[in-house]
Amino acid sequence: MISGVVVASRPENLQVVSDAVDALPWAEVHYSDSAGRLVVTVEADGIDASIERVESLQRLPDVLSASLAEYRFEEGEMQSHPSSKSEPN
Amino acid sequence: MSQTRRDFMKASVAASVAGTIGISVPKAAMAAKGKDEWKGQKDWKWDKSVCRFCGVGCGIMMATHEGRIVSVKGDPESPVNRGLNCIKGYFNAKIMYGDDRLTQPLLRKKNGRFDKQGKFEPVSWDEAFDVMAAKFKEYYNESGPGAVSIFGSGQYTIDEGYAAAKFMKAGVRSNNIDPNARHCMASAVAAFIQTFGIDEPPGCYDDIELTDTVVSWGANMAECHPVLWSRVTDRKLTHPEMKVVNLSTYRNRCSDLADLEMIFEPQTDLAIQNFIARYMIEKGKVNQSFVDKHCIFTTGPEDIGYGLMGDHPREQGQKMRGKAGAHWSISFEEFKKKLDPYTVEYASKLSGVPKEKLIELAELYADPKRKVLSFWTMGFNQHTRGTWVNEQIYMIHLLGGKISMPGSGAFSLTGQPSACGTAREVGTFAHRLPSDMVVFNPGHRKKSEKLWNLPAKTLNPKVGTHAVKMMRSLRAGDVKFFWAQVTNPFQDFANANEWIKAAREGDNFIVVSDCYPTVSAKVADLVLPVAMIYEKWGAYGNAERRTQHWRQQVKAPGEAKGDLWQTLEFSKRFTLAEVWKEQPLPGLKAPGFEDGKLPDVLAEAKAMGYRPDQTLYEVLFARPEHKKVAWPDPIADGHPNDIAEDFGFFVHKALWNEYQQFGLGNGHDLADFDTYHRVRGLRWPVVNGRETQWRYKEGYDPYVKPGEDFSFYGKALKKIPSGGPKGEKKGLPNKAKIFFRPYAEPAEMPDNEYDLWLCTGRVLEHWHSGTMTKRVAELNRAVPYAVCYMHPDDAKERGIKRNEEILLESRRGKVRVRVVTQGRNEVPKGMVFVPWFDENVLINKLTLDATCPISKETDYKKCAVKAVKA
Repeated sequence: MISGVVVASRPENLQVVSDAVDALPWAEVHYSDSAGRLVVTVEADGIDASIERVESLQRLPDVLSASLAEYRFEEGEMQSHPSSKSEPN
Repeated sequence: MSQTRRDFMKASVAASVAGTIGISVPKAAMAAKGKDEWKGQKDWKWDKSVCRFCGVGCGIMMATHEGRIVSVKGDPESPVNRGLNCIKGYFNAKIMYGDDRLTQPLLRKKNGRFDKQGKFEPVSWDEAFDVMAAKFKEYYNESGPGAVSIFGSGQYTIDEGYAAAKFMKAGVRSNNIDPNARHCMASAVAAFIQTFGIDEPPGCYDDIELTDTVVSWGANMAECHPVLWSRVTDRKLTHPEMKVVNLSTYRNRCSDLADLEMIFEPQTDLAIQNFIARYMIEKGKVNQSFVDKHCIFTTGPEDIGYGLMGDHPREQGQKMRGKAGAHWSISFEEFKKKLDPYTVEYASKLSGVPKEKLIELAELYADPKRKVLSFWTMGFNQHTRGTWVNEQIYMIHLLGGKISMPGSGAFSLTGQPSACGTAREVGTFAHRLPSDMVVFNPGHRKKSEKLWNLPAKTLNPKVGTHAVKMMRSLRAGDVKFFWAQVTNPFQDFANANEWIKAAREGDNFIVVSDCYPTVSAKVADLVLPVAMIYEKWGAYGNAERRTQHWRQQVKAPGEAKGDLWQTLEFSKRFTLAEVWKEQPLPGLKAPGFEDGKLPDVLAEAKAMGYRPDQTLYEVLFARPEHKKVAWPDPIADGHPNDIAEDFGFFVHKALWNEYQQFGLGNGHDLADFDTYHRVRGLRWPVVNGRETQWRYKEGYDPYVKPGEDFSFYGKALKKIPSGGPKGEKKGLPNKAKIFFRPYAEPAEMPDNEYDLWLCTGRVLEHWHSGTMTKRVAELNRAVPYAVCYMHPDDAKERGIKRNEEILLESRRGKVRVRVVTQGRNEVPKGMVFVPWFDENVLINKLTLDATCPISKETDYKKCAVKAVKA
């Protein structure tokens, strides 16, 4: 799946953060602005890996926040639920 | 997926996100966005909806295909979140698809019959309602309306809360309905009513992009209101002169953005606020003309207790326990004198915050040129002085005239999606009626009886049992029928062991309507499976007064049914003769009523054309004017409505039409049903089709007359004694109150044996008691269990290693929990933090059921515990 993420940094740290993100094999910086915001896409196999990766963006030095803005699944990634019957014990 | 296709998808996602946050992108990229034709999408049906989780109220877009939800994304057209979502938001569809979803009613049975000691067996809806109605009537006929109760929710859709409140108050004439919002918003409500005479925030989220200063008090917006925090972050990055302050009892993620971080001793926020007010007066920074024209100084009793049982040691000598809400006007000189002890030295000594930081904060509030926006959540509300600490933030903003203006305001955030829209506006509280009306006001009862077509004196004037009292009454055997809707009380209530025991061992009948087998479902005698948010039509009201409706998207599994359906079906089992006869009500004392009794109103009912054998369903929910509202309706745009199909008319719209009448002309105006399906929500009051961003301010609020500039027109509690508690009562039309409230110690503090503070709360990945988020595998794997955040020195002193399991114990109970000494929350020495989402770390066994004596809201943030190696 592909996730679109907004990464925020202070303007003076924009370049450092941008380089650090681009250095990751699964992330790509597409746009940025003078306020210190970057638009990043994250590639991952499934939601677990995607969350883990977005959270690791959050943990990069000088990153103020990393917010998921949009995600796209490939066909069949979003599962329906099994018909379930269960009881409290 | 091919590389080209992957690159195309990435470009398209990036362009879409850039558009969402307002970064301009090259034309070629926009074209990629427009040509967005990934596989399958052509057949998908997209519709706007609302996030199920917190009170921010983000808009989401949902795609369905062949009866299931195939995609969810942030709604770019939503003014709240502008296309963004927090991590939970993306799993709105998945919460419905957990493996252990309840799909059949379950009743405890032995030998084919209901038995409280029996095991759960699947039963039909008929059998479920038969047993439930029989138990209800057994207790009701024996002890009257005081013996039955509904525990509701700030997650009720508006129609669900409205139907439950109407069934209880107008139908069975019991005011024993109270929501879990009592635990989260009651202090905010009490302070709104006492200060402004009307509930809910003056301003709105738009203030974020207009302010110079954000001060967060007792909140963790970065984790609990992430989308609003991203708006604060965005403002800070695009407006460098902006200051962000984080006041908290432990370091949390908000500190990363803050210019000023202030970690204070629990409960000392009251002292910090009083210091700020004193500083503003001393430095001549009071906005005198605003205060003179629009405000009045007030105070109230100080020895009001802690909301504990009367025999608790902390309650002894607290003479004004029963009169906590009383207040009277005082002079500015007296107000000033009362603030005198709160010097920077005193505030610093109590709070542990350095003097220079306190002064820096006071300067931000005092600077007449600076716009200031204060936010708070549970740190203020869940506080044994919760009403006071809310009032004190208004004190600061009113003194500076920094309220109800674009960019300046005091904003109470909410934790549940419809704490405002349902619990508060509909009035699913023990003392409330719709639109801020109250049961003890004869005029309010009269208006409600008229709108509900009830005989005079049907409505019960005696305030019912609030949440905490409901549990205590269950334990005492006074409340015997308890129905939990859209909430998980046996995990949520402080001092949980007591209530679980009362429910399992007492002579009572516990019904829990829920979607998964929660702690409460396991405690219940009868479990009713519910349809979840996107399996029904509904509406929520968020923290900024925005009402948002949605359509049903998919069908509920098995026999699960919406809460509205359940209440209406249950109401079919009651005739007027059973409920509108004379009823015993011990303790009732009200003008026009015989002591201890609700009158028989059947004769007047007959005169109005009712028959004694008519059911509550016919009289309350399916009157001719309701049934006239036809289903199908073009506004559905092809979406299903299982509840309307079952009842044969458009129930949601019919109830909305009726509910809308309560708010018109009294400051709570809502738009018509169809309008909400065409817009991304509207902020009330909605007058002549226009929403209101800033209430009380001329030019924005239609209720403020030309030339008034400001008018605090709320009508509640506006006639109070002047000069002292026994002074002459005077009216204060259109004024806001500036309260003096003193610092008071917490109900329980660490001592030699229980030597640590315990604070509870949330983490980003989970919501409330985890009923939904624990079912999303991805969220559950991200944070599989609750941990105990502890200072490394505290761990070392106790010989505890990181990730080791310990026993955390209070005077009331204990849990086993793993210790973490670093991470997203950094607690100071002497405190531990444990989130409450995890039923396997049932932290509310430890917490104390002390409340704010005015709001009756529990303090979940402060009690004393000890930590020992397991």
